[in-house]
Amino acid sequence: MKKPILLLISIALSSSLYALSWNPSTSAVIAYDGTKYSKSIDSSGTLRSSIGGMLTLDVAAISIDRHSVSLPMSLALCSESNTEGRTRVQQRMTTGISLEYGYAFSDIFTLSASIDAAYEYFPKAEGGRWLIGGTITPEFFIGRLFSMITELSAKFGKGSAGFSLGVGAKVHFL
Amino acid sequence: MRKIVFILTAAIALSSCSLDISDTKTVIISVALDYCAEDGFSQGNYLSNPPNDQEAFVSQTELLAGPRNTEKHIFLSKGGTRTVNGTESEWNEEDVLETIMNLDTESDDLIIFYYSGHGEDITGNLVLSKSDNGFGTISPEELLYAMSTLDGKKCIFLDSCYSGKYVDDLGLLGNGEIFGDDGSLIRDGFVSSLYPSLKISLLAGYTGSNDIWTMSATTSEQLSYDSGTEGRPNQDKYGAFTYFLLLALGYDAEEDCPMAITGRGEITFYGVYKGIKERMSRSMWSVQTPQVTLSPLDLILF
Repeated sequence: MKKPILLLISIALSSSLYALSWNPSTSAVIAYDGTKYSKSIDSSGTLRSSIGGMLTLDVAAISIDRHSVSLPMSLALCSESNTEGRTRVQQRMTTGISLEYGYAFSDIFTLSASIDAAYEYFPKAEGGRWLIGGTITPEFFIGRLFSMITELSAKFGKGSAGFSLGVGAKVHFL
Repeated sequence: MRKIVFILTAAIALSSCSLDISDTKTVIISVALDYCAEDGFSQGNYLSNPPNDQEAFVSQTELLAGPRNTEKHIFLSKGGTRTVNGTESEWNEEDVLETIMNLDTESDDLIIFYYSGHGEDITGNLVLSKSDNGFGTISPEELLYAMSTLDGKKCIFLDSCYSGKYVDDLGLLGNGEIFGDDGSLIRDGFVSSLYPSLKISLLAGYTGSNDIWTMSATTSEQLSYDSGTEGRPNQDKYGAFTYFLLLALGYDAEEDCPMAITGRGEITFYGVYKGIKERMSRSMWSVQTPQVTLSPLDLILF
């Protein structure tokens, strides 16, 4: 009984491995960042706007047919926000990791979605906090290895909620 | 692509709002005591530098804020004489709290409280007077409550022992500072902050800031020193913390006079903190570690 089961598993694995490919990539995005803090933290109660740049390295990425799964790591720098009253959100640096799933609808269009965990650090205050969120990324291929991407993200931290909308470029290594 | 760039640019432009600080008021409440024996304190309590600290801090902040826009309430005890704004007055801690709570301020005004003097052992209470019944003090709860009643943005600078007790932990950010058994700083920085921040981020609840940013000379367990000993220009004239606070605000220590550098740009709360840390030696920082309210928002001072 064991032998047929083992044989079936081997066939299934080798069939999928035949379609399995390693798909590393890197991307750069410039984005608008909007964050709102609770009134007890930010008495102005307004949306705080910043501009940010993010670099992503996606080494642990595999594709099976039209599906892809990866663990991209990112580093982002965000400017100070607009000033409201006498306050502004500080410049910050964010490092993160995501679990991402993508589906290639065609040779030129892929849609990805991810859940993200990130550490947001404020260098002037020398303090930081953790955020969780999600991102949707439409990707438009120009050629086989190069694509343009837009990213829409939502992120949540203690006493705050925010979003970012960005555009950028992605390079696939293989 | 063009539409997306246009939308991004428009969003930033529409959401930007600059404050013209010249239209706002800066209120300075300063308290300093030398604990002279003539003022009822024992000889061992004497501190030579708080009056110098106050004079330099008030003159520098008034220069930065603009004399026209500055309202001052200066409580001084020097050589056994108590004065308020230069006029003799037997003020005490109740007068200071009453002055704070009776201020008439608006939402964009800046209220600065500066103290140079003793902090009571263990409690950190600011020691403002001496009577037969003991010391007259202001506790962290009393000061923070008084400041929270005011409209506007509040900034507290404290140069006293155990003054870290006045720095509220808002439960928002973690800085990962690790102290040894002797109270001196062992480690801090980005890597050190990762795990403590995770614990803070996962714990439920946080405290509102009441628009108060506090900077203390020490942690809640450290002593603050009447002067530094690093041989810098005029460093012996000022409290160890206040000397670097003055430098971070742009005070000319060599000429020993207030100075505003044109074209310097804004001075913010965390900019001052960073300025102090960049100037203070690591060895001094480890035994007298300034603490700050940890908030994502920075306060524009000048």
